[in-house]
Amino acid sequence: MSLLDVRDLHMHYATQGNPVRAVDGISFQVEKGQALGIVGESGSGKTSLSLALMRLLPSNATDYRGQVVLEGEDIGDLRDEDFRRLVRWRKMSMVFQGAMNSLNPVLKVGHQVAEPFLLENKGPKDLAKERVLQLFDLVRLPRETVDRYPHELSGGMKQRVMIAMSLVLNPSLVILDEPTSALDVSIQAQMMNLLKDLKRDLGISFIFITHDIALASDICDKIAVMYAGEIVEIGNAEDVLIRPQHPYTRKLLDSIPRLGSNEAPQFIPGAPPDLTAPPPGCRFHPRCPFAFDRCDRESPAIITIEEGHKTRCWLLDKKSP
Amino acid sequence: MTELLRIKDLRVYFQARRGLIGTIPVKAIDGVSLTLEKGETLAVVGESGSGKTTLGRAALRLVKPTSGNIFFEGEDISHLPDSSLKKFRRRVQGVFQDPYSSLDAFMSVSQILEEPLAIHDIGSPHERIEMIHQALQDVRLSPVEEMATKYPHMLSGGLRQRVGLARALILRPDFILADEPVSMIDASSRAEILYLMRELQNTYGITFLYITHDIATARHFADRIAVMYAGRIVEIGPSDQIIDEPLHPYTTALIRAIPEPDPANRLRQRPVIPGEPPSATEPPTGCRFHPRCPSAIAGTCKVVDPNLIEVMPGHYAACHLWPRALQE
Repeated sequence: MSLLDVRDLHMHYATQGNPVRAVDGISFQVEKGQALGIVGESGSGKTSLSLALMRLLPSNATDYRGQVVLEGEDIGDLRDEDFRRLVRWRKMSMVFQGAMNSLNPVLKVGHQVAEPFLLENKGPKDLAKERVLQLFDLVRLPRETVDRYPHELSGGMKQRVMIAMSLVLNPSLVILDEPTSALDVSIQAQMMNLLKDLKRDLGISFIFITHDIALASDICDKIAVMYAGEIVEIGNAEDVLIRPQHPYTRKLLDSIPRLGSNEAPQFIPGAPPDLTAPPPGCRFHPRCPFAFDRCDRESPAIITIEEGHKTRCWLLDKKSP
Repeated sequence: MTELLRIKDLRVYFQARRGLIGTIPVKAIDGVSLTLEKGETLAVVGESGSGKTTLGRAALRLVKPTSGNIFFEGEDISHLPDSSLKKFRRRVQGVFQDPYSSLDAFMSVSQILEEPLAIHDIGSPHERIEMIHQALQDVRLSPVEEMATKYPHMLSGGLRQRVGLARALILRPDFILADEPVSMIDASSRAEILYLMRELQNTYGITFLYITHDIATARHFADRIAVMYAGRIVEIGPSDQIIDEPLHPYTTALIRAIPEPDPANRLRQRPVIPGEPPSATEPPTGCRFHPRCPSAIAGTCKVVDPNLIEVMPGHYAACHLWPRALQE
C-alpha cells in the first residue's frame, strides 16, 4: 500500500469568467520513505496541487474533488475541522515557497518551531524545549540558535528552521515547495544533502516541488512532470530522466545548460497556456514540434510505457492510426 | 581586439548603520580589476554578497567608486560629476533581474521604449516610431504594432524581459549590463533570451557584462567568466577552461554544487563546501575563502592575501595553490 494515493484530484479557481483549471485531474502515489518530484514551469499548477493536498484552499477555490488516501485513510472525507486536528502538520506538513521570510520577526525561532508542539501537547514546556533541541540537531543548526531572532540568521539557517518546524509533530509526509530557490548554489547543495539524510535516516517521504528537473534528480525516486494542470509524464527517476517519452519532458531536459558538455541548451518556444481556456486536445500541442491532427482534437489517453512509467501523448499510442 | 571598458583596482564601500549613531563600512567590492574587449561577453559569476551586482552598477556609474578607476574607451569616467555623464549614459545600458518591477506599469510598451529617446532628444516623432518598431523586431516581439500598444501586465515574464532588452537596445549602445536577466524566468525559456542577446551582439557588436549566479548558463553564453567571492575576483579566464580546468577551489565547489539531471544523484551526497559566504563588513584575513576551503594551506592562506596571477595564458587565479601568488 502506498503512503499517499491521490486519484483524479481537481481544484479550480473561480474568476469572473471561466474558472482557472489549476489542478485538473491529478493522480499519483507516494511510497513510504520515497520522494516524488513535481516538476513544471510557473503556472503549471504545481503549487496549487500542494495547497489542494494540504486542504489550504484559497477563498475562490471551486470544484475541489478527488480521492486522497493517506496511510490507508481517505482523508478527502474528513470534515475541515477533523482534517486540521488529525492530518495537517501531524501526518502531512509543508514547507512553503519563500516561507523563511514569513517567520515572525519578534519571536525567537526556537519558540516558533515549538508552537505546533505546544498546541498539540499541553504538557510541560521543557518537553517542547527538548523536542526543539532534538530537531535543531537533526537539521544541523547549533543549539544556541533556538534563542535567536530571524533577522540574526542567514537564509540557509532560516530554511533549516522551516524544515525543523515541518518535522515537529513527526509527519510521515512533508511537501517541499521550491525549498531551495531563494538560496545560493553552495547553500542549496548543503540543503539537498540534509533532505537526503532526513529521508534515509527518518524514512520521511517528500513531495518535492520545483521548476528545475535537474534539482529534482538530486532527491526524487519518482518524478511527475506537470503541464497546464495535468501530469503529462510520471515514472521512476531513471525512466523519466534517461528515457523521457513526452515531448515536453524531453524539451525540459534539453533546456538545462549542461556543465559537462558543449551541447547548447534549447528552449521551448511560446508560453504555457491560459488555464481559463486551455487548448483543446493535448494542452501542449500548440508548442509541440511533433503535434499531428489528432493532438488538437482529442485529449490524449494515459499510456503505460513500462511498469510505473506513464505518459499522456498520442505519439506513443500504438493504436494511433 | 580593442578594449572597451577597463576597471582598475576598484573599491566600492557602503556605510551601514551600526547601533544608533555609528556606521561601519561594507566592502562590497574590494580591489577588482578587469578589462572588457569590444564585442565580447564577460560573465561575472558569484553568490549573493559577492559584489557582482555592485560591480555591474559601478560599470554603468550607477554607484560612485570609493577608489579606483573605470575607463570607457580610454576615458576615466569613475569620478565624472553626474552632469557630465549623459554622453556616456547614452552608450551604456542595463537589463535588470526583475521584469516585473523594472518596467513602469502605467506606461505602454511604446512609451517605455520612447522614454530613452526623449531623454536624449533623439529623432522626430515619426522617426521614433520607426526606431521603436525596429527595436521590437530586434527582440522578436511581433506583431510590432500590436505589441507597442500593450502594457507590462499583459505580458509574461519572458516577453517583459524582451521589452527590457528592447529598451536597452533602442539607443544602439556599445555596452549592455545584463544583471541576472533570466533568473526570474522559467528554465525552459532562459536559453531563448540568452540566444537573443547573443544574436544582437553579433548584429550590433554590443559588449555584454553578464552578471549571474548560474555558472552553467555562463559556460554556454559567455566568452570569459570571472568568479567573484567576497568582493574580489578569485578566478577569471576563458569559459571552457574555467569549467573544465578550474584553478580556484571555490570555482570547483561552485561547479560541483550544480546538479545535472541524473537519477544517480539521489543515491549520493553532493560534495559541498561548509559554512556560508563571509560578512562584507569583516571579511576573513588572508585569502577570504580560507575558512571554507578544503585545500587551505596552514600558516599561509589565513595570513597572506593571494594575488591574481596568470596560471595559463589568459587564465588567472588568486590562490596559494599556485605558488607564484605569494610573490607577485
